Amino acid sequence: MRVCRKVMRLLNAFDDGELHGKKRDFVSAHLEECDSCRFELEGIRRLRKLLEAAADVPDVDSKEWEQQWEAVRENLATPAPRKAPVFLPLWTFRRPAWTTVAAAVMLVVVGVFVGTGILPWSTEAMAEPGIIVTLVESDVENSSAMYYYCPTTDLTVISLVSEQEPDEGQ
Amino acid sequence: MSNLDSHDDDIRMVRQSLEGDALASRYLFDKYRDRVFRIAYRYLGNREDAMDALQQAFINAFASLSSFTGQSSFYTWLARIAVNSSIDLRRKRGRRAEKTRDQEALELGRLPKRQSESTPEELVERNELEEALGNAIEELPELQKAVVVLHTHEQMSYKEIAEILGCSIGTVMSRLFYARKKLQKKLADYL
Repeated sequence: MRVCRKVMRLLNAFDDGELHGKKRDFVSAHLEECDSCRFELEGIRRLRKLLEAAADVPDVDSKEWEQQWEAVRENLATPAPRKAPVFLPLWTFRRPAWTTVAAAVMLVVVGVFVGTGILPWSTEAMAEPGIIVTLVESDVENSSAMYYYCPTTDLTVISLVSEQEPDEGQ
Repeated sequence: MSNLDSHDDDIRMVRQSLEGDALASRYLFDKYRDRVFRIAYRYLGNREDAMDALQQAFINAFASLSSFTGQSSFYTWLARIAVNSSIDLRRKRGRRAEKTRDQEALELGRLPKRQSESTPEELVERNELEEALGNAIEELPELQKAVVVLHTHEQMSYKEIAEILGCSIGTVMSRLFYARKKLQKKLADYL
């Protein structure tokens, strides 16, 4: 029975012609003397026939292929979407204007602390003077942008805080 | 034309397509559209979705043509994209209301010739079988389904399937083993 279990797991591959060498010989020899494995193999063959019998797919006429090709071609011809603007909104939701100002002020204060190495948990990079934190004018209405640059780590963070409400369905 | 010639041809066409030669792209589309359609149709079970998956597969393939290295055959590379497009579409749309393949084909007047010559009784029987088969395949886990479609309907070798699905030959064998066990159980009345 243990041999049968092993053989049954190989029967599909055997019938598919995917078994070679000793494994194939082993299965062949076993099939000659085992009725239940032969019966199992017959089942596999019946299933294969059934699957193959139902393997038809509907016809597609040349006009349809032409339409499909046009759709593919048009899509390829469409210019790639414009790259995202440099200032990407980090979040967009309805909130009072004062939170924008508060966030901006907070960033400036943290920036100054980090720049001067005042923070108690300052790392070496943080203690390094010269960090630039700037408020940047943004083209987007009701929004402000913050530019943060640390020369030691060469890290640049640009954030845009906007009051714009997200569109429906997006 | 030998497989080797065909592979060389494909590589040449891919290169030309990357250089912007629309005729080369068209050549690749025409050469493989039927096979991609068969994969998508067998996977999704209806014509409309299969056409959408085919379109998406070719769009994705042409968009990422530069990633085709030529180590595998172009069709193996494309079939992987076709399987992924079909899986994506299935996830997006879910399962469509059942309509057997023949019913759909009949309505659209696109029944393959062999079937259009069948008697009404044969057609009913066939529809029933198609539906049972469609349902049984549909209920297989995604990757087992992919293995069945690629092996049974596309006659691909275990090695090719392993390449397409990015797994080992042993995994292909195992998936096929379990898939067939499930199919045998579900289709016992027809076997």
